[in-house]
Amino acid sequence: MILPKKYSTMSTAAYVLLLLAAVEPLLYRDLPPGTASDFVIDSATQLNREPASMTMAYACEKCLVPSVHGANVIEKLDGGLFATWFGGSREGGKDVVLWGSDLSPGSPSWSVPRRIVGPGETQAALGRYIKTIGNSVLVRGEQGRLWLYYVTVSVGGWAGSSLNVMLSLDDGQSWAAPRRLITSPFFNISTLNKSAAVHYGDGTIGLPVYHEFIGKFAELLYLDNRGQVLDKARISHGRHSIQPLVLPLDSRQALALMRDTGPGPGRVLLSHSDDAGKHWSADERSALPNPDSAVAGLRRPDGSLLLVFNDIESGRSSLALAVSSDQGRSWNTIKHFEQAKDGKSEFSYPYLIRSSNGTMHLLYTWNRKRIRHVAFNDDWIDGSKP
Amino acid sequence: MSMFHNALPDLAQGLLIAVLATVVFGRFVKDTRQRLVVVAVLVVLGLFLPVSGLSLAQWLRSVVGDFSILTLVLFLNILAQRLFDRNLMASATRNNLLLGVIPVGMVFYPLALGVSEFDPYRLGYSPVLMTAILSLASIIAWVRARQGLAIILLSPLIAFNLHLLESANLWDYLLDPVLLIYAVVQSAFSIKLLRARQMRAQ
Repeated sequence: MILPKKYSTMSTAAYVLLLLAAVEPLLYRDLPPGTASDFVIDSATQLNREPASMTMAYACEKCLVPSVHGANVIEKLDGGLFATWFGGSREGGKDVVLWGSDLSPGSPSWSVPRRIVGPGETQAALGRYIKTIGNSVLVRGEQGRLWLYYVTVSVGGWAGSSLNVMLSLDDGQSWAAPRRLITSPFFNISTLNKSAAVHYGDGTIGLPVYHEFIGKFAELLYLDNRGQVLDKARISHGRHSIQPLVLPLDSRQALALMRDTGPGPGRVLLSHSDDAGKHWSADERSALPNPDSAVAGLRRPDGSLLLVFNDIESGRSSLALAVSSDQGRSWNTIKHFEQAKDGKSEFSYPYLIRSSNGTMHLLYTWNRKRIRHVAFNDDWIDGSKP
Repeated sequence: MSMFHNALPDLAQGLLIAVLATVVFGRFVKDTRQRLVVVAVLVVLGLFLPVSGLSLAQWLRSVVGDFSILTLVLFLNILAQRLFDRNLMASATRNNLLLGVIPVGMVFYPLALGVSEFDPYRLGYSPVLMTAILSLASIIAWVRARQGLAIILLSPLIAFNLHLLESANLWDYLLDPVLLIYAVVQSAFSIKLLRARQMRAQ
């Protein structure tokens, strides 16, 4: 290589040192592992056979604030439940904070809601203005760690949102200061979460997220066991699909179900992955109606899929349970949790988990006033008539 | 986590305040030393004086986000020119850099915002390809005696390896929307200036 004569040996040596510093990870270190390994799925293959059971209660009946929304729930290490949701005077209001509540094992009722985090604490920790708080998702990490991923907005509406994370080492009783995740190159705005995370064999977490600024599309965000972003995979693109629910079908295959924000009549949108979420098929419309609303679901040990969704063309006044025995190709609506005739009621933002004893726990927004909790088992599902 | 995760971005907002102050007050304060004092006072106030719980730098950060390393280099160059009458990089280097930013940004942002299924932002998480391209571009610049450009092209990579920003994605060290807007405006201004000179020459 012929170098210009004006370069001295010193300047060339300095440049070579800088070049080595720039390419150092390629030479000496492992780069972040990027996309993770296979899905972790429940090793059990049998359903829990117990007498049919279904109970309806409220995770918060007296919610302390006028408006509540966006609940999620996780099983605690002691077998109880812990749920969070956002609430305040109205959605998007400056007084909105994240609330949390516990359901202890054997207890018939949830604890009085307690404040988890609000704009003030988040602003102080991040050194940025925080206008309001939004959706949250609890994720169980390695060594019993509990992560809370939640949405904040600094400027504008939900399109101006970003994701933050907090860690609890005592199963949700106390939380470390929040930290902001960088997930978008455009002012880091417009990343939101809604649905439960998926887990990988190497400890990586796959957090389904979506964007609402210019494009409305879904992604799977890969996070390591320190809550750091490793990589992401695009599930859909364009301007019509948000709030992905990712259901691993086996260690490699997965089905994503998404809210349809396109021109009506909306349908639940589907996408498939055969490589543990690295790549996704073009989204397709299912036969399931979707009135621009979020869905929830899970895979049962026998491989059947459950989906909770608003089974109407418009509004959110009906909330139903559907089952698929063919990996999401066809669905049978077998039960309604709510079916108001007034067209004004809102039963929305369902979140469904299966606890270690096989009980399903469904939380959803009840008319923006309460958070409903429905617990049911496999025999209640399989014995149900529409 | 690096202790610089907030220190460098806050300092970057201080640089933005300095640039804005220099541009605005530069017209009124002709003496370089006085201009330096005015800018220094404004930067200190902007970094430390709380307004409704946040400093001006933090308010700016809430709106415009964090800057890439290339933007910081350009900020430093503006300050060096206007406050110390020195160039950190040659005009040609700056123009080449800005002209390179425009096509990259124009293609990158629409794709990253969901126009197609291809997401170029993903390349920045395990940036083997990007590291190779930037390093190669730097070597070519060095061989062609463009020392400044060669070093500037390495600066995002070195900052990324040192985890100087919050982001774990190399793109955020390389590019930001403010840089793209600046590149478009500055290039348009340069073209207009060039045309005016050509007109005068005729």
